[in-house]
Amino acid sequence: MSNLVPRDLPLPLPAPAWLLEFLLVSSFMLHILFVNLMVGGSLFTVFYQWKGKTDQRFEELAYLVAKTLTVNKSLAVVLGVGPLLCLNVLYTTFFYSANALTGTAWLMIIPLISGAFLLTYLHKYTWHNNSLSRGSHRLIAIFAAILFLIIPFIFLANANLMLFPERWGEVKGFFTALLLPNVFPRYLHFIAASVTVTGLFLIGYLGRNKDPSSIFQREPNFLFEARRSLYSLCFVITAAQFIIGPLVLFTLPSHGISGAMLGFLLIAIAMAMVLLKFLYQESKNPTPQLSKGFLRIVFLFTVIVAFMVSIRHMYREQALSAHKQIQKEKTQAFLDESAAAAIQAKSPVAEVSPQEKGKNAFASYCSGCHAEATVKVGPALTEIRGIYKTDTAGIVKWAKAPGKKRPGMAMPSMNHVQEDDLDAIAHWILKAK
Amino acid sequence: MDFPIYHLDFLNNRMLIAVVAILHVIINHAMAVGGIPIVVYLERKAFLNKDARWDHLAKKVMFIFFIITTTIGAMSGVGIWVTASLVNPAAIGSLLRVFFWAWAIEWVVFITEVCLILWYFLSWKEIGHAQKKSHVRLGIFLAAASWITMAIIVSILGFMMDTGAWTGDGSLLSALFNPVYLPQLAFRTPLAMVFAGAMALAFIPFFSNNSLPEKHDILRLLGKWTLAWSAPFALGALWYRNAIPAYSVGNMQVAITTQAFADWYQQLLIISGIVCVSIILIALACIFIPKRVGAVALVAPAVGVAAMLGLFERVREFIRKPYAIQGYLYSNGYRAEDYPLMKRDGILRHSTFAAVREVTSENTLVAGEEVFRLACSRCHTVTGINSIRKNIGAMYGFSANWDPEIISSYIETMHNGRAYMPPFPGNAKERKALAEYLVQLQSHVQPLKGVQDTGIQGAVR
Ligand code: HEC
Ligand code: HEC
Repeated sequence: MSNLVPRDLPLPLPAPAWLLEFLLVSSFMLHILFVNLMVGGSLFTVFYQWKGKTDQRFEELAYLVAKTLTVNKSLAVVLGVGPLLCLNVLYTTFFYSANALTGTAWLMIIPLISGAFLLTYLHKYTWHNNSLSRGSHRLIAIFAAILFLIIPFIFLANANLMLFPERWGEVKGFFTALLLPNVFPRYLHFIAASVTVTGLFLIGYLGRNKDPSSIFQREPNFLFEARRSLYSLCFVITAAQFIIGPLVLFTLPSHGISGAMLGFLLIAIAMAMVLLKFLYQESKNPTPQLSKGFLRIVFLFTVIVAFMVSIRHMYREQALSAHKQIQKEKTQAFLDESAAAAIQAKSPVAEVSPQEKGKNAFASYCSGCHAEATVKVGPALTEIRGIYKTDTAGIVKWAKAPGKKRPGMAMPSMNHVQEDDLDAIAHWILKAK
Repeated sequence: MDFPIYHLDFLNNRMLIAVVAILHVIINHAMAVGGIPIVVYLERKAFLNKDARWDHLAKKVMFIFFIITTTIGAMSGVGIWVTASLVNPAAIGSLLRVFFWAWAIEWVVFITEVCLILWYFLSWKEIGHAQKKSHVRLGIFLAAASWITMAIIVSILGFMMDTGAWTGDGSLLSALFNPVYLPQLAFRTPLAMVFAGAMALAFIPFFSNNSLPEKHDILRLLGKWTLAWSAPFALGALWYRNAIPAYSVGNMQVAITTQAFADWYQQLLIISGIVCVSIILIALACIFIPKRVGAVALVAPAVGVAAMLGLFERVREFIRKPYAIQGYLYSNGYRAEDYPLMKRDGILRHSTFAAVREVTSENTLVAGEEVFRLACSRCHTVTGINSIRKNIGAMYGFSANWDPEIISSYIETMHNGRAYMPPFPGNAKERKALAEYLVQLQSHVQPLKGVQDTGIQGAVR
């Protein structure tokens, strides 16, 4: 099955694997938090602005969300560098192979994300611009949201593909990589999480502005209303995760599932049930405050996410463990073979005569372009002899810094050739002593 | 290179990295490393003179810098990784393993920089605001963070040109403190400042707002800025050029243009000289006759510096050839120390993803194509930029019949005649198969496909 596992790069890891894995998991959690806020923020902006068509208060709410989006998206990118670094180092061959297989789509993340970011700025900075109709203004946010909904597919396809070298042979480009099991359920799982994370963030964020002219200071009841509906939304989505979650689990190829992983999962599910109950309670609270009720939800949610990310990592390690073992042996065998071949190739160097040396050096450095009597790329040796007669130093000088005499191609500098080799060549060409 | 091979045949693979990297460097130098100091300078001037018009100007320039650096700037930085991991995964993978901690530190500084830039721009204070002074100070911190980010990257890049640093003890420190580091920093810092000045000048014709200072006052100030930094820039450039190892300079001629145009080199140097001189002249004009400087003259310096910087990055990349990592890894992805094995067994045998693993009399062309993909496709395409058909045609004639014998013997010694190419890594049979494949290209023009289109062809084994 592991026919397709390549050799590893024969360089040691820069730190113990456990440390790198810890850095990966913890930095990834930070990164994904802001990615969630970015994707979710973009969806909320569209949604609130749409409601704002009939209710001006939502238009103001949408603007608040849009302003956080442009900050969160920058943090999402910069925080992504760390986990990417760890992933590159820990799973070098698996990750890069997946990248190559999804090739052009992987490359497209750069223009797609840049485009989505530019659209979010355009949206934010044309908010109070009257020359743009409200409809077109909303359309900008919709385009940005569509991009934000497409881009995760590319990341997920790669993150999924790298785990299954045994399936690499079936993949022909990005779209076939999407068809491997688990991509779509995982996508739903991610989008649902994005909405929940952003919902919780907004519950905490809205109403921060103490400026008396701001919407929630003017209408305190609207704040409670918004918070309640966000709680309800989080409740519904979290409930839906109880269907999406198992779908994710059951579409995972089973060889990566371990007992420990299932144990962790059970704990996480139990916590999610408690979370569900808390969310329900708050959604019924007529005046939800940012006090105990909110804090325990945030705390519990963070712990659950930490569990989920760790479970992901456990699966990754388990799914790759057999491949990694094979890779390790293969790499070592290769290195041994390579070292042996290097020794074998170093046969003792025989003493050669200067003429012999010149002839050999000419064969390695010049014969691609010069021949005895015919014009190859450069002039024939007979012609060169006519020009230089006994002037060996002249040839050496030319070879180091060739001029341009004849039409057609110029001769490249031979500056990299050892001086005494050039000298021997010149002597050999001119048949000089 | 034991990876599935991604390949773009219309655009050369290295060109892809070059385009993304140059875009990133241009944005980074003009709008962050040099850009932030110029904005902070303007803001400080406004603060000291209590002149809101200069503050508006500072904010306007900052707005453009902010939008571009946090979108295309940031993403093209990530893009360098993405393209490098597609084009030469062996190289970027090796670099990351050795330089992990340097990159990790870089990451922390980078996070700081992004947080500061968000904070700085989004918390801009009006003149007269109680916190204006601390806002200016924040800008200074931001400028420092941008510069440190660059200083770390330069140290990482600089080492790659230092022959022996990698193979010496392969450690981080020995690689960081290499002889080209300081010169490169001394060159890039004033370059960024000049560039930022030129970039700000280029915006001026597009600003029309009477809340800004008089146009000629702006030009005078930016002109002085640009002029003041051009002297350190020239000195830095000289120092840097002298520090590049002699061997690389010998190769430089080919680096700047392709071989066919090698004699443009002299002209190119002259062109760079002209760009520098005209920037100085335009800067002088901005100082002394600001009212007579037109829009074209204001935009030209930025375009000129961008072109020069692009050229410089291309040279810097090129003088690394034939290595991706000097002395350790060739640009084709093969380690120098594995050559004896590859030459003995052939590269196909040691390529997990190759369509065939051995040259036989039946599979010559397939094997030849695979050898091309492994040994040449990092730098050559079949039909696109640096097309191998054109290269061979230029040597042996486009209409003459190409001879596999001659081509095969050329390949055997090509690294000697053309020092920017690595030696052919495979064995004699593979060399002949490659020659057959290349000769066949003369009549069958078929773009080479990468694994993203074909899938792994050897998978059915
Ligand atoms: C890549 C092809 C190439 C290689 C390799 C090459 N040359 Fe040349 N050589 C040329 C070409 C083309 C010319 C003609 C240049 C011209 O006249 O503009 C030339 C011209 C010359 C001349 C004639 C100079 C004159 O004054 O007319 C000499 C001598 C020479 N080469 C020596 C060498 C030596 C020695 C080497 C090996 C160390 C070498 N060449 C390798 C292509 C090559
Ligand atoms: C490190 C990158 C690199 C690799 C790998 C590489 N080449 Fe080149 N090659 C170049 C460059 C750059 C040129 C110069 C192109 C020009 O002058 O337009 C070149 C030129 C050539 C030429 C024309 C030479 C001449 O004298 O003008 C041939 C033929 C050639 N390469 C064949 C190959 C073959 C065959 C392989 C694979 C075995 C290969 N190259 C691998 C970079 C590379």
